[in-house]
Amino acid sequence: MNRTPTSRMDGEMRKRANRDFKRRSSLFIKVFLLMVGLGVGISIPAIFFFTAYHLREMKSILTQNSRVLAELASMNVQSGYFLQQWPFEILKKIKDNENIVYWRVVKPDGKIYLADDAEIWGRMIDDEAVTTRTTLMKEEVLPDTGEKIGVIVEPLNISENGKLWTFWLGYSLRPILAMKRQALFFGLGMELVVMTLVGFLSYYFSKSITRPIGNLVKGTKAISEGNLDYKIRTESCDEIGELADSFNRMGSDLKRTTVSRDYFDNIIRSMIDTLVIFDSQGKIKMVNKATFDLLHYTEEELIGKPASILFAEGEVLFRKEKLGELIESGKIRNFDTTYLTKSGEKIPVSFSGSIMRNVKGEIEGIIGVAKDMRKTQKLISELKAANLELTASKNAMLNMLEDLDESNRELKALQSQLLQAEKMSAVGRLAAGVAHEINNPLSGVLGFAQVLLQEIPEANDWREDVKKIEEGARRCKKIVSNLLTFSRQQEFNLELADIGEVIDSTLSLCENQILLENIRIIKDYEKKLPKLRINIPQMEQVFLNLITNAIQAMVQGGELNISTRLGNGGNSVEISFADTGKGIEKENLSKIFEPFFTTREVGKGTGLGLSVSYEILKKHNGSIRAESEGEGKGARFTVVLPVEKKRYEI
Amino acid sequence: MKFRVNVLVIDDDEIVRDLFLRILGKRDNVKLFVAEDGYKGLEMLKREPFTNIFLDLGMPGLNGIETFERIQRLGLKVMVTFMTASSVLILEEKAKKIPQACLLYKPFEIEEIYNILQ
Repeated sequence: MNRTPTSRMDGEMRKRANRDFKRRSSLFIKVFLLMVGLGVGISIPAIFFFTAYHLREMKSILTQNSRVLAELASMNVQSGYFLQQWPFEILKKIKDNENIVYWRVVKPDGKIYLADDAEIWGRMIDDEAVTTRTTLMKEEVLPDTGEKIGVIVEPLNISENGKLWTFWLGYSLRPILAMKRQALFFGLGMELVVMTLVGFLSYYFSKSITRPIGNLVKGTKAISEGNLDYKIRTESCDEIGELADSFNRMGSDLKRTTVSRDYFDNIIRSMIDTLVIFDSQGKIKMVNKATFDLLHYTEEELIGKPASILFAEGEVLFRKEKLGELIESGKIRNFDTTYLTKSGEKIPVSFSGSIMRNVKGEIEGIIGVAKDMRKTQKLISELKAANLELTASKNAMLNMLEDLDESNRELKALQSQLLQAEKMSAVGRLAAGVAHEINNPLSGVLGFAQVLLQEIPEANDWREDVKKIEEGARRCKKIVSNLLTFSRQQEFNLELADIGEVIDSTLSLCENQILLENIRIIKDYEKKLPKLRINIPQMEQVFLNLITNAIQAMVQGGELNISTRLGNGGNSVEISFADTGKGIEKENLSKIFEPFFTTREVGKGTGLGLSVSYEILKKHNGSIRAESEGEGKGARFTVVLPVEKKRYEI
Repeated sequence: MKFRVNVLVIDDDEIVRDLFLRILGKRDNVKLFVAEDGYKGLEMLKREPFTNIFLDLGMPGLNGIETFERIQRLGLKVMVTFMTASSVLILEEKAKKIPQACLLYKPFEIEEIYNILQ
């Protein structure tokens, strides 16, 4: 198994590639340098020898020429000696030759006898050559110019003391030097041309050798990277071409017969969860990339380390019991434990492990896969929070529903109030509409009845009939008047009044009836009640209505309790009328304030009394309510009137 | 009734006019005229001196208040009693604000008529 994670792998590969490159380039350079070296090694000596040979030839020609001149001069000097006539003309001509530096006739003792320069005649030459018997060639340096010249010493056939005179001819070597310089330039030029040619040739030759090798290297690299499909281009039919062919075959064979190890590496590397392989000693043998990423270790920091480095302190996975379980069952699944990062951070993980055995069945190691549970745990806590929120929302909703219910109830109450008001106003409009139509003819009925009553004698039977007409008309008058109360903004004068006095004055209106119906009035007025700001006639109407109702409810007689008291912390006065009459049915309690509702026989009541009272009290910012325990148990009407707040203090 | 009175009743309703004729028409000390609308009433007022006028508020043509205003313009000294069948509230409110006039609600008791005339 390749334990190399991607980053390391990359580094390694880069290094290897580098080495490959070096090797390849050095091979190229080697071949190249060899070629160049060969070129240089051959061309430089060739040119050198060629030049040197050429120079020697030139030199020998020069020397030969000078020697001919020297021999010619010697012969002339010899004959001149014997004729006692020095051949100055010839010698002068020789000297005129631009290459001739000097000529001398030297005696055997070294004394210059004759020379082209008369000043040196008689000077001595300290040189062994003065006694030479053969033609001698040597070189010397001119003392005045430092120029190197060639000298030919030709023995003359003039003997003195057994020794021969000599003729010296100095010739310039300058043509040779010039030639040498020329040859050098020529040689260098040649070398340059040759070198360029050699360079180009070497380069292409080297290239032609190393490129196929480079391709091979590229191919091996590709295959080592797992690209088994890579094919090398075969360029030549030589051994390298053959190698490339067999390489290509190898690649396809490999592809056929094996699966790339990188493929598995890739799988392991690409695993999201951490994978750790421990050896049988519990040491880390291999880890995948996910592990490095999770724990921030590098490969070297983990490989070979004990397993405990991965786990937070106190974690029990590799303590005896868990390890025992693992070895016994061969696996362990989703064990909640905690990993420890390099920096000491604790990471909750779900660990699953299994024992890896070799062919012999011996434990080779443990494969451990751990799943990072942070996100899961976060999700769980988020879920919990969401659940809490949901519960809160639910409660809020329930509260809202309750509120809605309440609002609904209020709305219903309001609606019924509105309905009531609507009814009232409809009745009012109706009343106003019919009042005119009824009141005028009613004026006639009542008026004429009264006129008739004035005129009909007491004893006449008609009198009773007309009285009934009058009575009927009066009742009609009352009904219309009551109806009008709804629509009328009749003069509504408020004045301060003692409520007890108002009740009493109302009682006095129906004293006769009270006596007649055998009813006992029990008064229970609270003393020191504040005066109330009311419309006295309307309030009398309310009380009269309530008293009349009570009287009519007590057909067999009974008690009427009238009481007053302060209510609502002194902000209102409550006046209640409680009778012992037949009471009100529960279902009717809510209806009795509606217009036209009556429980009496037709003609006995208008059905307007209580609704009129209700309207009157509403105008006073007061209210009226009815209570009854049911039929036969009496009824209690309570009028509530507000106490006026004192506006002026004196 | 001890004094002699000249009474004018202006009402568009015949029953009411007839009632007045029945109550007061046969009396020696009462001289009674009836008119069915404001214009006719005013015509009569120009011809005859009246002590009392019973004037209906809700009438077609000139209503009671308009009629009253014209009577005022005539500069007559006469006691005016408005009558109302409680049909037109605004006129009633206006009538109440006139101090020299009374307001009589229909249907009335004949006693009330006598009281007014006395």
